[in-house]
Amino acid sequence: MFKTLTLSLGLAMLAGSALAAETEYKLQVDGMTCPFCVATSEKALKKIKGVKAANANFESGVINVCTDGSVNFTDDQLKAMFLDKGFTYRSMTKTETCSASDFTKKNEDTTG
Amino acid sequence: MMKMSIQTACILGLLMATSGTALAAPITFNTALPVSKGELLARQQFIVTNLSDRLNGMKRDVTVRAGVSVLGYGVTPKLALFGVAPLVNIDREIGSMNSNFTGLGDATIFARYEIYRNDSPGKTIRIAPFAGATLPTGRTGKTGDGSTDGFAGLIFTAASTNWNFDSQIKYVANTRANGFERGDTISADASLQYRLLPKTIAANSDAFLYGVLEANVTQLQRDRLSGVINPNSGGTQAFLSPGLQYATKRWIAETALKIPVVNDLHGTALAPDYSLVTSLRFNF
Repeated sequence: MFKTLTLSLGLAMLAGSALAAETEYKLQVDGMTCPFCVATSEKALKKIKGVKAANANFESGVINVCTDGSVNFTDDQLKAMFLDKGFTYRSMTKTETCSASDFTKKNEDTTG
Repeated sequence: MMKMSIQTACILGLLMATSGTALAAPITFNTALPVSKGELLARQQFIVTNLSDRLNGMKRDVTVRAGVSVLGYGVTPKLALFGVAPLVNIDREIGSMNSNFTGLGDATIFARYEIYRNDSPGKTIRIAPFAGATLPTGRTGKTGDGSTDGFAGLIFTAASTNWNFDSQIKYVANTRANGFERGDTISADASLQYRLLPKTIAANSDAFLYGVLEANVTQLQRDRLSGVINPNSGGTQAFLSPGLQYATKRWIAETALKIPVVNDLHGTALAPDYSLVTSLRFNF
């Protein structure tokens, strides 16, 4: 019983430290109007080493990017990348954990 | 030769429509939306066009079937190159005379360059001129008209997550080959694509169904044979094209019926009854 409890606590601590290493970026990208546009942007982001997931919101033009913490985006890098894709990068915000709700398909946006 | 020129004009008019990129875009003409740098887009289009009438009791019936392959490549974020290769079958019945030709039609190459862009969240406005040439890759007098023709135009696109509007003007300067010169054409096109489904966009929606309505007007100048004007050629045509378009993140399927609403052609020129356009687009 004690061994099981110790093991569970250990796993929980490991999981906690792994989650803490994740970093989420919210990128404001203008000009995306269709599923194809979004796919192009998501594909480019997912090719970057350390990016675990990328998910875009059509209406707001925000792309949520979950990284393993090893990625440090810069404005210049993102501006150049989205320029190549045919869109306009505006800004980003960074948080220390990835929010699961930003990467699920059940996140309804009722502004449409 | 006169009938061949009309058929070829109809085919070329439709083939130029295939140049759209693999974005939510018009079905029968082009868009100014971007092709990403280094990205390859493909479109396979199937077009059936029928032209028929009775002239002094003689039946005239021409059916043109075309499989059109289009490749687009983003050289830079602003410059995209396109190649259009049609395979055509022309089935012709003029009175008791029948003929049927199948083969490569006249291929088209062109470039499009974005000169204006204004992006905002979920919206964009683009303006892009384009220019290119149609090459005599078809069999002269059968699946092509033997000439090298130039064209240029301007596209305006305003797009949002709910609807897209595209418009285009295009001038085609046809040249002479084997004594025959098809008349130049100038056309104006407009397309509205309205999102029908989903009615409300979920954060991660990955497919849209659009209702599409397009209008095309073309003014054709008269053809010349050995320098002599053919009175049975040229005129004005206008079409309305209702359609549907299903756009996902990787492919688009679409269809439109091109219905003539004005067939004001000179003399005994054969006018189109309809064109059915179906296509698939892919993003690699």
